[in-house]
Amino acid sequence: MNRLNIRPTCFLPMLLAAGLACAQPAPLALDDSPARAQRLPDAARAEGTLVFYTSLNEQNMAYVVAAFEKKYGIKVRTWRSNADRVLQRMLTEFQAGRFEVDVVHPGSGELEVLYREKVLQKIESQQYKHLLPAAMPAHHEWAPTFLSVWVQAYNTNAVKKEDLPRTYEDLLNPKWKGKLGIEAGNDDWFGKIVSEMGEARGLKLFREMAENNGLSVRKGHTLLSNLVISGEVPFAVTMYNYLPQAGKKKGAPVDWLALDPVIARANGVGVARRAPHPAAALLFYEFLISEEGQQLFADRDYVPASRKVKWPIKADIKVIDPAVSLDQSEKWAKAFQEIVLKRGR
Amino acid sequence: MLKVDALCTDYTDAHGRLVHAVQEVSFEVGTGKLFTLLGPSGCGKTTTLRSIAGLERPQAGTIAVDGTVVYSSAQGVFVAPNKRSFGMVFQSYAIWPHMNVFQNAAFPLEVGSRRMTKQAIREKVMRVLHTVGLEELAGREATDLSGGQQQRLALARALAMEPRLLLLDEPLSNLDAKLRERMRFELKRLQHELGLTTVYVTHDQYEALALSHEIAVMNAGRIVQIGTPRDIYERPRDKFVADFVGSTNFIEGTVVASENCAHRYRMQTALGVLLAESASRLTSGDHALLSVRPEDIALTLNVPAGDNVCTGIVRAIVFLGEFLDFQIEAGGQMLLVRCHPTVEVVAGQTVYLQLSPEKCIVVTEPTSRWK
Amino acid sequence: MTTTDTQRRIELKWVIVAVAIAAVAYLALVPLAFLLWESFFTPRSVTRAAEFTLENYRTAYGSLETVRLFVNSLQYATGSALFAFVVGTLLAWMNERTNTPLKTLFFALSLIPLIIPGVLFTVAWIFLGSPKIGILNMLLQRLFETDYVFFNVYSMWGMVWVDGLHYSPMAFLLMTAAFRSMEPALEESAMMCGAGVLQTLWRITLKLAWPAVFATLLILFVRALESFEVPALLGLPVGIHVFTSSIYQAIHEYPSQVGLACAYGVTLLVITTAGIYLQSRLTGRGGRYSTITGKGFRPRVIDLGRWRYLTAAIFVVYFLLIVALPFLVLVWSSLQKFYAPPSLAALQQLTLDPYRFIIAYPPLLPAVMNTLLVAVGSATVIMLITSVICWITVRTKLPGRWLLDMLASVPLVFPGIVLGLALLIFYLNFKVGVYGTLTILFLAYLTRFLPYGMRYNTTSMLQIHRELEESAMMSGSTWSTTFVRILLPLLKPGLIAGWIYIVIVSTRELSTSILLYSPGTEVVSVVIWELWENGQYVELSALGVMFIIGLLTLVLTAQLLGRRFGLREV
Repeated sequence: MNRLNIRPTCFLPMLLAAGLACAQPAPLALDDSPARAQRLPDAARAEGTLVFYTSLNEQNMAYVVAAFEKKYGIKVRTWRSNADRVLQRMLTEFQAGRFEVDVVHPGSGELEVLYREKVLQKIESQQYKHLLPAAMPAHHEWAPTFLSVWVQAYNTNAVKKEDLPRTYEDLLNPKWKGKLGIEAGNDDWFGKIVSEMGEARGLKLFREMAENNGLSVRKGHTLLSNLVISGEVPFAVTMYNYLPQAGKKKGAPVDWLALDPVIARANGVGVARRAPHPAAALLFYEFLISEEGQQLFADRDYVPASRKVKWPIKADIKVIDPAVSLDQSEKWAKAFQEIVLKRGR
Repeated sequence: MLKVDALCTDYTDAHGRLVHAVQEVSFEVGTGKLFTLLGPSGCGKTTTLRSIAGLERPQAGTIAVDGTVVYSSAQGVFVAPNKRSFGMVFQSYAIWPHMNVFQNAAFPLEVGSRRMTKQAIREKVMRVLHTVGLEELAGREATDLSGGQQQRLALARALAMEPRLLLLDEPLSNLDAKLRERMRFELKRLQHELGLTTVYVTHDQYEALALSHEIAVMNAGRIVQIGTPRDIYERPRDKFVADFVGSTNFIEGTVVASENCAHRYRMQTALGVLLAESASRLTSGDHALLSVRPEDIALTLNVPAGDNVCTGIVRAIVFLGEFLDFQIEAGGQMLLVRCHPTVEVVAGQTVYLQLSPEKCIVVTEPTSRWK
Repeated sequence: MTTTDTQRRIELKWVIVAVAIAAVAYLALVPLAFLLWESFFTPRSVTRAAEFTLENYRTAYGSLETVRLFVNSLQYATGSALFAFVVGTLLAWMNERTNTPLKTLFFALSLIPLIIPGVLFTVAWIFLGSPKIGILNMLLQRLFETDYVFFNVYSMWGMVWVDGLHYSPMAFLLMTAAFRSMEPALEESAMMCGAGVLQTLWRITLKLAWPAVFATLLILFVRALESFEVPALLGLPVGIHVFTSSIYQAIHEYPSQVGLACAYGVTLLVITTAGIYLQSRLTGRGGRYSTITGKGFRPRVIDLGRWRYLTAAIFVVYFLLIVALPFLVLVWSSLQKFYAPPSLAALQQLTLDPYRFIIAYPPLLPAVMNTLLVAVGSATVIMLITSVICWITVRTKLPGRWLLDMLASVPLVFPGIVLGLALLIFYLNFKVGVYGTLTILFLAYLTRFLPYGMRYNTTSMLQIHRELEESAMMSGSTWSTTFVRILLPLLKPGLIAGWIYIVIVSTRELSTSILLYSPGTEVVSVVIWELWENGQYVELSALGVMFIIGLLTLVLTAQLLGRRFGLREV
């Protein structure tokens, strides 16, 4: 019923929006001269506020946002949800012609979808040259802010330092039987790591690991992280690097290591094509990828996208290309399902 | 058979107040007898019955059936209601709406401690349904029964288990007058035929008088008088009983002298000097209350021979079919007199009244027994 | 009374009825139409418009995999529903129909599992019943000097156990309402027939409450079918997959396969519809279940004799083992910097930091205010609307009234995200100023919890004999006066139980809230989710403990006040 009403109404504004953006390239967004950097704060202050959708952990994002608000006196209204919902909400609003959001900050996968759905606008910036090239999309409709690096976390009471694996192959050793855990939604990691290892070798490795030693599948990295700390899962094969790091800081019996190849997914920021506060949005965008903003992420144990800021992790990181990942998502979701989820017990 | 001794039951009402519903109640019921607890609502008769059933837990006393103690505060015995095998008919009948007639009646046989075959249950149920005249309706939904049928079904259900004791809680009060009368005979016949020891609770005096071998009149949680229906009716012990059972006339008087024969006294009353009977000893000068039933006053147009005669003026006449009720002013008070309808008297006429001395009963003021 | 007066009064009745029907139709049809419509379309993207297709159904039902998942789901839902029912009903029966000592205290305690956020409850059981670190296993193993695994929450039985326990308060509340409105003579006469307490319970009490029993089982079953949390946390590690995971998988894809998710959802719709239809057949069987007749009705309890100490013991064991254990795990976790299994070393690490953090947590207070507003508002409106709807479905002969019942019950089957999307799209395009405000959450809760209101009211309504209403009418009372003065007071047990239930579950509702809330209209469940996602398990435990204490205080106060004003009797 509602769909009947929607179809004509939701497509028109979308096409209009797309048309407008093409016809009048926002000069501010594409102008990466120092002049913009000077003009921007005043224009942004005039707008006074901006609306920000993100899937980033509340506390850490609040930390970054607060610094921005303090610096420029611009109020950021944050809406936080999980990555799927950020995407759903933004697409739906856009299709209905409701333009509320200025800046969006989900994972690179969602950003790539938003780019394909023509929701984001192209932006040029002086900061791009400092960002990790592998994480930066060529179309410049979004920019990476930090990397979610998959590491391996372990309970320091349950696993002795000398027993730690040096390669993924070491995890095939029977001593790991019943000790391994993995997160349930890591099919993009799986696709990337198997591709890096060589498809045949990679698939064989994980198949053997799941069949011989078992992979306890857990929903959500935070759950897995808590279970590692409690000893329920002695060794997690996939874990975002900042989670065990935060636990370690609190004194929890947890530590991490990074087995090669180290895989990461970028998280990034984009500005909506019909942002109601274009200057504030742009200013925030610039802030997040600037050295100052990047340092804030590093403070919170994230791996910043900027090479000007010191990384908390020393490894040759392979960054997932969201475009490739999107195109191959079905294939890897299926493989992950078959090899890990179904046999992982 | 049933022996209730010094029973006391309290309960907490909806507002959290403690109610002494039954106090020091004692009585015995012989095998095969129908015993009635009679009294106004709130007198404790239903609580007494529920205590016998085991649905209420008394505070003190003893209840024994056939020498088996089912409740005793002294011995700390309390037999659960379902272990007492007493049949009970509830005022609301409590027919289970989710079962048909047969299933309702068969229930006690299915849950009892004795295991019975399906066939045996069937025969038995049909027999009790036949007894109460419901065998034709065995397959009908219980909710489709009329009030009288429900009552009979409730009875059948209580009978099916061959109870040691049958407890009836105002079983006829939900029926219309005609049906009630029929069921009264029906009940009496069944009780007689089956020889069931029965405790019957009612507030209806006629039911009590018609059915019972013995009646206990209750008031305010206590038994006021126990006796045969005739005893209760003809020799009420106190004003409450006289007033509650049947209609009566009260005449105040003072003892003048005792007569030769036992229990008979001469009284000075507003109607003149009357001879009356008293169960307890009186001395001259005592204040006394006489009770005389309307049908025990003879009405004549000529002066009758004998004692206890006075005159009065007819003030009102009510025709009730089977008899006539007269309101007669005599000695400054109104008397109710009941006569055969053939008596022809008109209002305003002066008549003679004769109160038969053996029916003029001295009753005590019940106040002393009340709280 | 003049003629115009009569007309106006009759009209008022139909106005109220019409408004209630319209409200339910509006609330239910929006997502229902979305679900059905969407299930026939391909995902739409900027490059490709949505097209009509049957492919969603072919994908959803064309594979053996779906059947396999569905069998898992059925097992799980049946087990969980039965378990929750048995536990909840037993507690309700002991509480309402027996003289078990201390029972008034247990009413509030019975609600605890409901208050604990789902993820916390499940994780607490992992910490209790995991073969590796489960406290129960470790204790028993040490006691018997064995390495035998006594409990394994990672199993179908474990899932049934945890989910069943978590939802037993729902059965408890529904059956409490049903038992509270039962004529005691019906049970007493069974006792007099020689039936034991359990025989009476089984053959009379439960049979008489059959509509309530059916309604309770139905809603427990469908809810378990639709549930996601327990299977994800306990089933996944051992490869037990359920039907709902397909739905979430479909949504997660790009482009998002909303249509496929909807096609899966249609199965739930069919099951619920069949259940509601059966239920309407039950209620159609006249006054078979009208147990409040107004004839000498006095609520009385069964004297259990010495057995009451056994039931009291059951209560105590239940609360110690089932309620107190996960609660203690929560308390234990909430006093630490990070979760560690209980040990002497961990004992020395105790801290009140999590509580300090929660009390000073800025988003909490506005979220609590928003939640209270929406939860209390929606619970009240739902209970009132559904009481009218129930009256229509139970009392009138309106043709197709079971459809109305079904309509009010279908929101139960919408996967949270589908409902969220439906409302999101509808209110984005139907511009009445609802989008982005608290009102859209209010509407979402109204829709989502409408079925619960329906069940709670239906069970009570069925037991009220028609004559009680009719006699009010004969006394010259108008329909609306009868409704307010006679029906609502008689419905009170169901109304209150339903209201409590909805208020509590509203505070937990996440799957639609997280899509529909806006900056400034955060609700508690979103805060809980954020804490969880942050990995702040110990802080979340502290919040959970504070919730439980707050709610217990509330319920106990209400109970005390209720007793003072005589509210507890029917």
